[in-house]
Amino acid sequence: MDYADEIYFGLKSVKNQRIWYDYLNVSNIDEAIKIIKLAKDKNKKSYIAANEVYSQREIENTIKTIKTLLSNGLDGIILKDINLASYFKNKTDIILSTTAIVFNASALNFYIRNTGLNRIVIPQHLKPSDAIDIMKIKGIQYEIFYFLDVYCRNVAGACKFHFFDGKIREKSNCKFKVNEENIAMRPPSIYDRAKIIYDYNKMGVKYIKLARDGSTDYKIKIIKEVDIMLSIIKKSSSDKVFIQAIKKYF
Amino acid sequence: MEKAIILDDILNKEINIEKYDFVYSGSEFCFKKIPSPDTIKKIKHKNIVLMTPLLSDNSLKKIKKILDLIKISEIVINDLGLLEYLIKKHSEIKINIGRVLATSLSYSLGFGKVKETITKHINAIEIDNLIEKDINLKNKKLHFHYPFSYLTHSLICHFKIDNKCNCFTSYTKLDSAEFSNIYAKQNAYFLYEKNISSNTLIKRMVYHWIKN
Repeated sequence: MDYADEIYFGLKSVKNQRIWYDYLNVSNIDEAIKIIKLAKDKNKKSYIAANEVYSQREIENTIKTIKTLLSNGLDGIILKDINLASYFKNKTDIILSTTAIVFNASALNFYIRNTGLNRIVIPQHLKPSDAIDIMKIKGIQYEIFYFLDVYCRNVAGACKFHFFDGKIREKSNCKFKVNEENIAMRPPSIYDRAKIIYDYNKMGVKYIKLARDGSTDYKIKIIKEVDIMLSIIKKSSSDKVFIQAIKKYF
Repeated sequence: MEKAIILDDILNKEINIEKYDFVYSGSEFCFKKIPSPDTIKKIKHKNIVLMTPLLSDNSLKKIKKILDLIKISEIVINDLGLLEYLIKKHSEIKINIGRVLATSLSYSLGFGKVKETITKHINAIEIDNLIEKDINLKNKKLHFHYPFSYLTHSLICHFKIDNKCNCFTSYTKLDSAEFSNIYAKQNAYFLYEKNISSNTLIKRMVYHWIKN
């Protein structure tokens, strides 16, 4: 926690985009409160990922749980569900998850009106050149994932590979072959992904987020890597200089 | 029961579109497959349904242009930005929620703020075998896509060679030790299932043409 400015977590009892993986979720509310308190002690902010949609039955428990966490110092919610957001609108910080699949300024305005969001996590498949109109919207903060560490091939928020037949699989569930050739959707090269981070930084993105996957040691390693990248961006006079430096360090 | 066919290629002579009440043109998944106004004009059918994917601002502009140039009576949307535009500017067009958006909004469509801001503007929901169990609306029509159910899609097109699309133009079976029924087409993955739901809200069958 000393290495990051903010922390977010999933909770087993609150459906979220990584609910299939036990190890990516805090097991109970007491554990979650411990994390929130620890963050407070260290003067950091904490957020819960509640970034799925909820049935009428599920939403009552979700609201109850989040209210308990907020009363213990939680700073906000990463969400996509407009029904959930409408309950917490103007009561806490709302961060719109990538799972809301917002790809244009009109869609973002729709969510702003209906959720009271303060920040959006830009979908990883939205190119910086396609996000210009979105980022003209004032009063919103922008966040991206650290794409060098995590880059899903498919559109987060509209992907059933994890659960469509009721079996939980690891990453291999989206790799297939045709005539012996692997046709899994290839993500961009790490240099292209670094360039996306560079462009978004220059466009005014203030937050860079690490995914939940990986051990604590791995996380610390990645945060240090992010720090190096951000300092290279700061010192680079152009994207070409930046990519040259990235090739040297990564 | 209405019958519809998805028409990927207007030159496909193997499909007799007169047999169908509706012809779907466009794509729910790929913005590169948004047809031009001229292409739509060439479809000789009285009931054309325009399918649209998730839209960047530039793609949204293309759709707006189509709607300004051509009289479209029914549209499948997968983007809330387009919904905003249709409500404000084209209230005469029947709006159907597409399978990407239906997957994303799922149970939330049935109540609360989502019902008030989205569902009330909707004519029908495009569903398939996988989506159906997550949609529980008593007063909206359902259009059942058959026999391919949407699994996911990518917007990082690995098939792109020399800046041109090179993806599967027709449903192509994927090799998998675990599954015998996964297919890819364009930038999307599907589950092939022969079951047809008996849900009484299904008012239209939307057939996906499979090359023999």
